[in-house]
Amino acid sequence: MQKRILFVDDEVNVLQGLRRMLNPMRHEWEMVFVASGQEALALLAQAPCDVIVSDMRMPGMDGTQLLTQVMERFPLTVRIILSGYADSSMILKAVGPVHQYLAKPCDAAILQLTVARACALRSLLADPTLQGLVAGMQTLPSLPTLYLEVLEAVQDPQGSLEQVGDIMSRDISMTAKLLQLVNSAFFGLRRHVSSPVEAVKLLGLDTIKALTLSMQIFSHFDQKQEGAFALDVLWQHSLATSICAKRIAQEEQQDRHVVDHAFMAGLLHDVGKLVLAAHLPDLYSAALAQAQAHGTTVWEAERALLETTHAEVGAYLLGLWGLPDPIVEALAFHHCPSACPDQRFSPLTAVHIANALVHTEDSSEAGGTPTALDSAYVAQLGLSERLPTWRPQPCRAA
Amino acid sequence: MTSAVSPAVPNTGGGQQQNRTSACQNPNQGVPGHSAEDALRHNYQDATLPLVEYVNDAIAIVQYDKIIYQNPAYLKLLRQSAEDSLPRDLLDAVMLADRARVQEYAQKCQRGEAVPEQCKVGLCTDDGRLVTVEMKPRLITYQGQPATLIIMRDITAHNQAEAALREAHQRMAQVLAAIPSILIGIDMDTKITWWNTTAEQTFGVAPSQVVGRPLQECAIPWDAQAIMNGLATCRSTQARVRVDDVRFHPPGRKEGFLGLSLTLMQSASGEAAGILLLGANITKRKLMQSQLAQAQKLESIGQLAAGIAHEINTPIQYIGDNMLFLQESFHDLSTLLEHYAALYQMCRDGAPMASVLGQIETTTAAIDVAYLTAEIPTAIQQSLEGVERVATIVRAMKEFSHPGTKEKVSVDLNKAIESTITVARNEWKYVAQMVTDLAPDLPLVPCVPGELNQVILNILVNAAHALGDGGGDGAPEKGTITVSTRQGGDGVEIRIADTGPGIPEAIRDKIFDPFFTTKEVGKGTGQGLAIAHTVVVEQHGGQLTFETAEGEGTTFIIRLPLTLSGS
Repeated sequence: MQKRILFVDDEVNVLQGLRRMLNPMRHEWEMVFVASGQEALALLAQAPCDVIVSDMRMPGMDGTQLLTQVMERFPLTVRIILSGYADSSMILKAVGPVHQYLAKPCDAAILQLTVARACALRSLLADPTLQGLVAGMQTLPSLPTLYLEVLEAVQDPQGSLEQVGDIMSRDISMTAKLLQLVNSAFFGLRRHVSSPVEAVKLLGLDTIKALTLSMQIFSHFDQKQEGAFALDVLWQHSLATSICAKRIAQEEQQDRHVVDHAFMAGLLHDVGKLVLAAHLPDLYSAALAQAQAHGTTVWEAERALLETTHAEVGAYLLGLWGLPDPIVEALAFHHCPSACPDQRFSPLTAVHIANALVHTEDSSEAGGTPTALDSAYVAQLGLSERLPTWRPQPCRAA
Repeated sequence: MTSAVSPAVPNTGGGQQQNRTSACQNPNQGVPGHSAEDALRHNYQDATLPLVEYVNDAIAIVQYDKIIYQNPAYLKLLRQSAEDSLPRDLLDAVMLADRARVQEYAQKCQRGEAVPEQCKVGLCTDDGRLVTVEMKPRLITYQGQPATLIIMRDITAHNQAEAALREAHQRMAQVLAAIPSILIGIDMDTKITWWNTTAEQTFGVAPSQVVGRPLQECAIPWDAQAIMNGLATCRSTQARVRVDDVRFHPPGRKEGFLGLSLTLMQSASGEAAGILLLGANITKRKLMQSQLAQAQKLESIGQLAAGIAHEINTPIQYIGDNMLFLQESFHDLSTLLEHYAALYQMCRDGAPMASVLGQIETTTAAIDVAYLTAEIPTAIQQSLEGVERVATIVRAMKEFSHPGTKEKVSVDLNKAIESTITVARNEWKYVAQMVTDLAPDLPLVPCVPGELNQVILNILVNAAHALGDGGGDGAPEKGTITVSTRQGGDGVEIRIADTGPGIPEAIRDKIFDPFFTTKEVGKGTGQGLAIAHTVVVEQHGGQLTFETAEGEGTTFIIRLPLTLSGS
C-alpha cells in the first residue's frame, strides 16, 4: 500500500524542490505539499498521513504548534521537522512533540531514508491504538531516585556535566531521550555517539538544564504506575545486560560502532516494558500474572494479551525517535533473533546473548520464565563455543 | 602661705595711676564696656566696688589662697549664694586637674612674678556642672596688701562650639579622604592648594611636590592643555565645566582617561576664591562602555546570524533538490536521446526502425517526458532565484557590517536602509509586511555607516518584536513596518513606523535608558535603543525621537544633519 507523506513549508520553492527531488519515490509514496499549518490540519482531517515533514518557522502557525496539534489529533502520524532555523529556545519547545529533527539544507538521501524508516516502522506494531499511544509519548518515566538525583545535579551550581552524564547513563528513559536528541539534528548535526555520557557532553549543561527544568522532557514513575512492576529489578537487569552485551561485542572484535550500539541497546532493550507499565498498567500486570501462572515467558504472555510484545513496542518508540537502526533492530528481535533478516553478528547478537545470560544468572524478575537462548542462531554465527567464556561473573557486576 | 610682698610690686595706698600700671600690664587686653578690668581700674580701692558688681565677668580677689571678694557674676557662675561665708578657698571650685596650675599662678602673681596672660581652667559649680573659664590673674593691692585679682570669663559655650567645629572639620577631612575621586584645589593664581590621596595615587605625584606651586609649573602627567582650556572656560563663564576624556599617563603605568568637573569656589563674601577640580579615572568605565556597545552589537549579530542562516539555508535546500532533480532528469533524457540517435542512424541507413520506435515509446512513458519538459525550466528558474536570494543576502551583510569604517563618510541612506532590511528579513517577515517609502532624491548624508546601520537594525528589530508580541498562538494578522526617508531643511529624516501596540505611557521616558528592557531576563542587554540614541545624538549630532499611541503603533524618527558638525 502506498504511504502518504505530507510536506509543509511556507516557501513554495522549497516544496517544489522537494517534490521534484522525491519524484522517483512517487510509486511508493503519495506526496502532498501544503504551504501552511492550517492547510496541513485541514488535509489531515480529510485523510490521514503516515508521516508529516514540516518547516519550523512559518507565519501564523509554526512547526511546533502544528506538530503539537498533529500529536493530539492525529497521533498515528510520524512527526518530523525539516528546518534551517537555529534558535535554540524555539528548538527546545519542539523537543516534546517532534519525533525527529532534520536540518536544512538536508541531504536528499537522508531525508528519503528518514521518511522511509518512519514508514517502515508501521510493520513493527500492527495495533493502531498502541501505535498512537507510543507516538504520543513525549517522555518516558525514569526511576524516581535517579530522576531526583538529576534534578539536584542540574540545579547544583557546582554540578558538572560528568556528574549529570553519569546519573543519566544509569537511567533507561533518560538515555533513550538523550539519544533521540543527539541522533536528530535538534541541537546540531546528527552524529554517532558512543554513550549517554557523550550525549550529555554534546548537548551541554545549559541545554540539559533547560530540557530538564523548563521543558521537563524527563519524568518519573509514580507509585500507582509501578503496580506489580519491579522497577529496581528491571533497572538492574538492563544495566547488567548492557555491560555484558558490550563485553561480548568487544571480545568478538567488533568495530567501535557495534560495541557502542550493543552497549546502548543492552540498556534500552526492555524500554517497551516501561511504555506498557506506564500506560497500560492493568493489562501489563495481567500479562505478568499470566506468565507466572502458565510458566511462559513474559513476552509470550504479552503477545497473548496484547498481540504484541514489549520488544516491538520499544523498537517502535526508538524507531520513531530516530535512534540508529542497529539499536532498533536489537530491541525488536531480542527474543527471537532468528527472525531478523540480517543474520550476521550485530548489536542484536550481543544483546540477545547477554539478555539470556543475565537472566540465567539472576531470574528474580517478576513473572514467567526467562527467555531461552536461541541456540540455533548462536550456532549459525559460530559462537556456541564462546558462550561459556561470557557466562561467568562480569555480567553480574552491576 | 607667704606674706612676702614682692619688691617689684608698687606699694598700696598709691593713686590710681600706680594701680593702673600694676593691674593693667597689657593695655591691649582692655575691653571697653562691661569689662571687669575697666571697672576695677577705677574702683578696686573702694570697699564697695560698686561697678564690679555689675559686670558680666566673674571676679574674685584672692589673698593667700583665700577668696576675700567675689562679685555677683562670680556667684552666679558658680551657683553660689551670697550668704556663703567668705573666705572660701580659691581652689575649692577648680577642677582637680587644674588646681596645681591655678595655685601656682595665683601665688606667682601675688609675688609679682610673671604669669601667663590668661589660662583656661575648668570649674565645678555648686550644683555640679562643669564650666570652662578663661582666667586672668592680676596683681593688685587690696586693702594695703598685695592680692591677686582673678577675672574669669565663661567660655563653656564658646568651647563647645569650638569642639563642634573641630569635629566637623575632622569629619569633613574624613569624608574627603574617603572620596575615591581626584580632588585638586587651586587658588586664583592657579597655585595648588589641595592635592588629595587619590590625586597622589592617580598621578604618582606627592602633595609636597605640587602644593603651593602654580599648576602649569607642576609636572603632572596629564593633558595640560585640555585642563588649561577647561580652567579658562570655567573662569570666563563662571560656571561649572565638565572636561571629559582627558588623557593621562602616569609613569610606569598604562595611559588612561580622566573625567573632571571644574567648579568655581567662592569666599564667604562671594568673591571667586579658586577652582576645585573633582574627577576620576574613567578608563575602566570607557572600556566597559565600549565593551557593552560591542556586546550589544554581537548580540544583535548573533541574533541575526540565526536568521541569516535560515534565510540562506532555505534557498540552498531547494537549489540542492532542484539540482538533484536536474541531474536525474538529464540522465533519463540522455537515455531517450540515445534512442533517438539510434533512430536517426536507422533512418539514414534505411534500416527497419520498429524496435527502436518501441524503445522510444517505452522510455518516453517511463521517464515521463511531459513531466520533465514542464518541470525542468521551472527547476532552473527557481534555482536561479535561489542563487540570487543568497547573493542578495550576502551582499547586504557586507554592506551592513561595513568592516573597518570608523569615520564619517557620505552614505546613501536609502541603500543602507535596504541592506539592513534585507539582513533583518528573518526577524520581521513572520510578523510584518515591510513597506518602504524612500525619497529617490535623498542627498548623501555624512555618517559612520556601520554605526548607523546598527541603529536602524535595533529600531527595526524592536518594531518586529512589538508586532510579534501582539499576536497570539493562532494566526495573528501580520502588522506593517513602514520605513520612509525625506529631506527636510538642512537634514534628512528617517521614519520607522510599526502598527504594534505602542509604548505604554509609564515607560516612555525610560526607553532610551541604558539597561532598560521589556524583554525577559537573559534576552537583550537593554542597550539597543540607548546605543541608538548615543550614536544618533552624540556621534552624528542628530536627533532620535518617537511618536507613539497605545493600540496604534510607534514611529521612531531619526534626524541627521547634512553638514558635518562637532564631535
